[in-house]
Amino acid sequence: MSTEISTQPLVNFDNVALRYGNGAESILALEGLNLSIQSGEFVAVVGMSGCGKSSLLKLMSGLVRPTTGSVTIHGQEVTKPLGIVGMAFQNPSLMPWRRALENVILPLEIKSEQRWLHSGNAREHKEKARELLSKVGLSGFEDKYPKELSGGMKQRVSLCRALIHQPELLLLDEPFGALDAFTREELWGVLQRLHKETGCTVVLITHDLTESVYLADTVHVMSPRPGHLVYGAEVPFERPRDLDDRFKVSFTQIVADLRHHISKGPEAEAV
Amino acid sequence: MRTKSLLEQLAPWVVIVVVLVVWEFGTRALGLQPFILPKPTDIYASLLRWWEQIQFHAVHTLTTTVTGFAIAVVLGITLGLLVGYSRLAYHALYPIMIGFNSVPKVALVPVLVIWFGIGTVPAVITACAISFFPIVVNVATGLATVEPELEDVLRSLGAKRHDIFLKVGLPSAMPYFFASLKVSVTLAFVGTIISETVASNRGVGYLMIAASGRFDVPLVFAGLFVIAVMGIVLYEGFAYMERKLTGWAYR
Repeated sequence: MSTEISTQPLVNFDNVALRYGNGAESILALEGLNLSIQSGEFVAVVGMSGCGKSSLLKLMSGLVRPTTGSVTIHGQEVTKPLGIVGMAFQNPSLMPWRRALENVILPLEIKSEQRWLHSGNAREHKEKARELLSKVGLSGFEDKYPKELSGGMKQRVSLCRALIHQPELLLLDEPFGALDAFTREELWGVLQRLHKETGCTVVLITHDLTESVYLADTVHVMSPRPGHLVYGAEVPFERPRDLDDRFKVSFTQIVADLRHHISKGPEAEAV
Repeated sequence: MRTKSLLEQLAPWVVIVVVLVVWEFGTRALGLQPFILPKPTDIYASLLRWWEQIQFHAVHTLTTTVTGFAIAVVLGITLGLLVGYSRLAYHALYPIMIGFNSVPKVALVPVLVIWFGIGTVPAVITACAISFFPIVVNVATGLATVEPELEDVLRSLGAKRHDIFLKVGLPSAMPYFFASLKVSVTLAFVGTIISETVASNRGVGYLMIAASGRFDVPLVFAGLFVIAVMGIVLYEGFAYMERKLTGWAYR
């Protein structure tokens, strides 16, 4: 990473509105959304379900374009998928006909096909995937099919798939939402380590406030639909963070503060 | 994959034996004449007596069915992929396919006979016509079951529609495709027999019609048995292929 302080954020949302569909049945998902994310930053976005959090990720990945306003990455307006993002969701959405290792290398296949390189370096891909899988504690599970893996393991594979092509921007949409509390804690550790090692920028969508404060540098609160950011909190704790940090007064204070700003939302909107 | 327990392996044979035994002694007890309902032993005797003829007609029916079914598979995959890939093709073709599928195929046979004459060709076409639709529907459905999140992952990497189609659409359609083959192949038999019954001078369908004309009901039943056995064998063949090729889809 460069030592010079860049003034330009990696991602910038400028007064973004997003409307799905048109006519009477259209839905205004986002309105007046401003957000900037620095390179290497770990950002969490929290809010009630259905407030447009996932739309935020779709805009960054170039899968949808804003109705008004602009989304820029490296100062360039995002008009199509840039291929610099990795994505993981609550549902691991692995391909059941592929073994764990083959699932992980999917992004490499797609990217090399685009460069007309074809799978000449398939062995290299596999080596990379093996290495990444071992980092998340899945050595020995490379040849297992998704149906043979537990929920937490599948989510680890999904994380590996999101990171294998060394994306600049890792987009996570409630990736731990469906896991039990202990598996979730374990995967927090995995994610924290991966973030440190890769130095990539992470945007985490979640409605677990503890998770957001534990993992992120900055936590943003989103209003109910049409979504925009109503509050932001900086998390000052040193990294690597420890699970016991969660029980510190200063930690719980941030959580309480965030909770307060979320619950205020709907009442203020209810006219 | 889970292995079947001994009981599970034996169960179908037990059921068959029980049905045959009840049938045998039921008809004896009721004193039914063979031309009303023949006993299994009558059918077996008829099967032995006419074995050569039955074999000849069965082979003919089998090749007709397999030919018609093979055409149905090609046609079904083509239409299924088209309808599953393109929304326009879906909207354009679905109503007419459903309409065609609703037409009783037996009503089609006389027309086919006018066009192609009595014999194998109408039977092949009928077998194909009756069995292609489940393949179309299943292939199209399989293509439509791609998880939106997985599609997002691929699209965010710059994958084009045909990349997604090849990498995800086709493989996820495979279990649906193989499931439809099992059903379709048994339907193809129905198509062949219908056509042979109406207009043919060969095949098990013809044999059965000829036999019933002579009130040789045991031979009619022998024909039914032969068809049932061929149906089961082909069904099991495709079920085996399904397990081998798309075992990942089953827990």
